[in-house]
This record gives sequence, structure tokens and C-alpha cells, in this order.
Amino acid sequence: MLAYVVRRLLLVAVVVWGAATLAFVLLQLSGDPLNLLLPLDATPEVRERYRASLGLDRPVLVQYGVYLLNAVQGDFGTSLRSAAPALGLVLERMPASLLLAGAGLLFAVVIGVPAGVVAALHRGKPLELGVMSLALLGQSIPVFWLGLMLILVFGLQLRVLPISGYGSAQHLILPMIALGTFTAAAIARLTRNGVLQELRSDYVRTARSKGAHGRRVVYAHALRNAAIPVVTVIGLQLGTLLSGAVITETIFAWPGVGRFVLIAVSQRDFPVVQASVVVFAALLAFVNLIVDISYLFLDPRVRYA
Amino acid sequence: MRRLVRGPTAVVGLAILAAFVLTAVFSPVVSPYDPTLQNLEARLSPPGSEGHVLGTDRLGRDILSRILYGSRLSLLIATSAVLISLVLGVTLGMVSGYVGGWVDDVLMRLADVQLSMPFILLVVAIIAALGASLTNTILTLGITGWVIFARVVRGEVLSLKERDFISAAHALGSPHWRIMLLHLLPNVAGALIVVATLQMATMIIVEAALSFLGLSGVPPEVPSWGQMLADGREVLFFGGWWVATFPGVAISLVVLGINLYGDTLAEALDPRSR
Repeated sequence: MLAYVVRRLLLVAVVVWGAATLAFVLLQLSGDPLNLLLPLDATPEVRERYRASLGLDRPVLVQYGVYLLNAVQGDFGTSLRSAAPALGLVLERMPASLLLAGAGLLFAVVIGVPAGVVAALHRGKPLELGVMSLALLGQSIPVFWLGLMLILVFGLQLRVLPISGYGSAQHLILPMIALGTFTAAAIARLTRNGVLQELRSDYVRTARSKGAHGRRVVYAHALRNAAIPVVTVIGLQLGTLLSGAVITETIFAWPGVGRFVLIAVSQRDFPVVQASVVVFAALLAFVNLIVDISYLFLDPRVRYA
Repeated sequence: MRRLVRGPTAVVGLAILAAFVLTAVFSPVVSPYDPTLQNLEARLSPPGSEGHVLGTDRLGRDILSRILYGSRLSLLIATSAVLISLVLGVTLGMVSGYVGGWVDDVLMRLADVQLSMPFILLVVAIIAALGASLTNTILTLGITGWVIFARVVRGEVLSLKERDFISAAHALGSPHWRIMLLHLLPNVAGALIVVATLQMATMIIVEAALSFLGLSGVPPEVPSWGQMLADGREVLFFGGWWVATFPGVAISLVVLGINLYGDTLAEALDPRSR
């Protein structure tokens, strides 16, 4: 168990290093950073002096080494636009993003799991068809369009909810639904399949033959085992949720990392882009680690050597 | 083969997909207007206005025609991106599973690194570095899409290569490339078709998202569903609800069709579900 966790932590380190390297390569691909820093009519002498002062005149490998050394210490340089440390700017906006992603995930679980269970228990009936059709639809609607439609209906037509900004629970509702719908649909489909599979299994038949009540069989036996694939998907969906958050934040003017990084990309503010790529990678790698460890508690058959 | 078109979901899915492809091919024939034709007298006409079933946008362009033409861009980007990821992912996944060892380790860690970044952020960062253009968008989507193909192929190859027919081929002196191409590839084809189909949906959505964010590098005069949504967002607050609504319906419908058909394919090609 301990050895497994240590190995997985090493993998997290590899992933973060890989992400940092990718971010460095991207900056190299994007052309001369001086073009972003100096006015185009700067004289060659000024350009060279500036280049030397930033260490950009050194060989690429040396620059890479310096970059990694600084990155390990949490230094990704200063934002080209605000002169504040890039990492600080990204981390400052992380709570808002995590709040949105967490709310989206909660919405997805609260809607998706019961929907999946209901569908499985009404196998072959119209209710199942209805729930599963909705789930398929939910997986087909792009988050940015759903966001616009929610704004249109609840913000502009009915005028019941705020359509942008941050600060109150009301502000969270529309972005949460926009972001969580796809995941809710994915969870509903998976829960249905999982529960159906467990209901067919031997131990459920045994429990039934021993006189366990229908509801007890579902809740005490089948649901618990169906939870394993659902937890996997929740882990995998966090990537989707954070991806979706980038767009959702933009639509609802949510002050998170996603919106911030898109603005940074359009302004070619690469220290900020680099810092956020690394932060996202570290976050997701940790989440996946936690998901894998949580199997240990969900499924006693799983033993990590 | 009949399994592939049986059942109402398969029929509906296939019908939507066929309509999508036919629309893309024949958009000049079926569109009532030139999609770039501006008519300032008919700006923001609501749906059902004379001659404009789905209304017009800020510049008086016919929404229906723009949606019909927009299917071309979605189809072009999605198919080319999926083809690139298919070739790349199958090659890397095959090598990873067949060769094993450190090659496998390096490739799979690379996959882990990539999967631990939000896809849209990764794509946006690469396009920002390379510069936005249609070619760069297709290349970026194609190259970043390799992971899922590689993982599927690798998984299948790992179990296939222990089987007797592969040992037999070895014993008969088949070179490695021949085993991979003639014995392994046909056996993973079924799984690949399913993944490729479902990836089409992902790519259509990501392309629309990029266009929506103004990062796809598609020239503004080319009708694109994502670009139409971005236009629609701006007039949403002035009562022009139809500009953003209908392109989104088009995207959702096509993705729904792909999902419906992909589900059927997955069931038909999965021997365990028979």
C-alpha cells in the first residue's frame, strides 16, 4: 500500500514535469518572446540588452534548466501584463474555479446517480427510455450552447437568475447546471449499466433467495458495487469538468483560472499560460491518485502491491 | 452486418449522420441563400420572416444557409482531425503494446501527461503558440487526439499478442511489421471504428468551442457553427435569440446522431453483448 502510494506520487511528479516541459516547448514554438515584451520599433541595442537581462541569449537547454529550477520553486516569472508573479495570479483564481467544478460535480452526482438507479429499476419501461434519452441528449449538448440557452431562458426571459458574475449562491446556479449536465448524463448512463450488471449477479440472487427485500437488495448490495465504475468516471470527468470550466467561466464571466488563462492566451501572456498548465496538471494528477486510492475502500478485492 | 443498422436508435443515428454528410456535400444546392450575402435591410429578422425560415443575423445573412454551409467546416475539421489521431494513435499504441518495455513506459507516461491537462486548455495553448489558422487547428486537434486510440490499441494488443495465432506467426518467421499489420490490426479494427466514431463528436464540439472563442483561425467569412454562436451571444441581449439558438441545435443534433450510432456500433462489435 505504502509502496504503491509512493510510486503513484512519483508518477504525479513525472506528469507535472512533463506538463512543465510541454509549456516550455510551447513558448519556444511561439517565436521570439521579445516581440511580446517590447514595442516593435525598439532599437536593436535595446532589444539585445533586454534579451541578455532576461537570460534569453543563453542556449535553449540552459534556459530550460533555469526554467525548471525556478518552476520547482514556484517561480514561473512575472505576468507580461500585470507585472505580478504568474503563479500567484493563477492560484488566486483557483478557489473560484474549484468552487465551480465542485458544484458542477455535485450537481452531476446528485442528478446522475438517482437517475441511473431509477432507470435500472424500471428496465424496459417508458421511464427508463425517458431517463436514458435525456441522458443521451445531455451528452450531446455542448456546454457553451447550454450556457447561452440558460442565460437566454432564466436570465433574459424569466429574469430569475443572474447571468454573470460571482459572489452569491444565485450566481453559481446557472454555471453549475451548464457545466454539470454532461457529467450528470455520463454518470446516469454508467450507474444504470452498473446497477443492471450487479442485479444480475450471483450474490444478488442469493440475497433475494434468502428473503432480502427488493429495496434492500438494491441499496445495500447492488448500489455499493455499482459505485466502483461510477467513482472511476467521476475521477475521469474532473478533467472534462475543468475543461468545461474554461468555457463556462468565459460565458458567465466567472472569475476563475479558466477565463483568466483564455485572456492570457489571447494576450500571449506566456508565463501565466505556463503556470496554469502546470497547476492544472498537478491538480488532475492528484485527483486521479485520490480516485485510485479510494478504490481500496470501495472494493475489498482491490489490493495494490 | 445487419446488426449495424438494426433498432430504432441505430436508424435515427444513421439518418442524422447521413443528413449531416449529405448537407455538407450538397450545401450549395440545398441552401436558399449565399451564406455570406449581407442584406442590411433584413438585419436580425426573426425566424419565419419572409424568405428566412430561421431568421437572419446582425448583417442580414440567412441563418439556415449559414448552418447548412457550416456543416462543411465541421465535417472537414472533424474527419481530418480524427484521421490524423487514428493513424498516430494506432501506430504508437501498436508499438507500445507490441514492443513493451521502456518504449511502452515512455509512451504511456506521455499519455498520462497529456490526459492530466484539460483538453481545451491544451489545444488553446498549442494554437496560441503556433498561431491560429485552419491548418494549425486541424493538426493540433489531430495530434492531441492520439491518446484514446493508442490506449485502446495497446490494451487489445497486450492481450492479443499472447494468443496462439500470434505465436504461430512468429514461429513461421513472420517479421514484426507483418504481424502488426496483418494479424493485430484487423483484430483491433472493430474497437477502432467505435472510438473513431465517438471522437468525431468530440472534435466537432471542440472545433465549435474554438470558433466560439475566436481561436480556431477559420477566416471570418467561412460559415462556422461556433462562430455563429459567438455572433449570437452578442445579440442575445438585444432580443436576437435565434442567432445563437439554431446553430447550437445543429451541433447538438449531429453529436446526438454520432452518439446514437456509436452506441449501436459498440454493442454490435462487442462480442460480450451478443
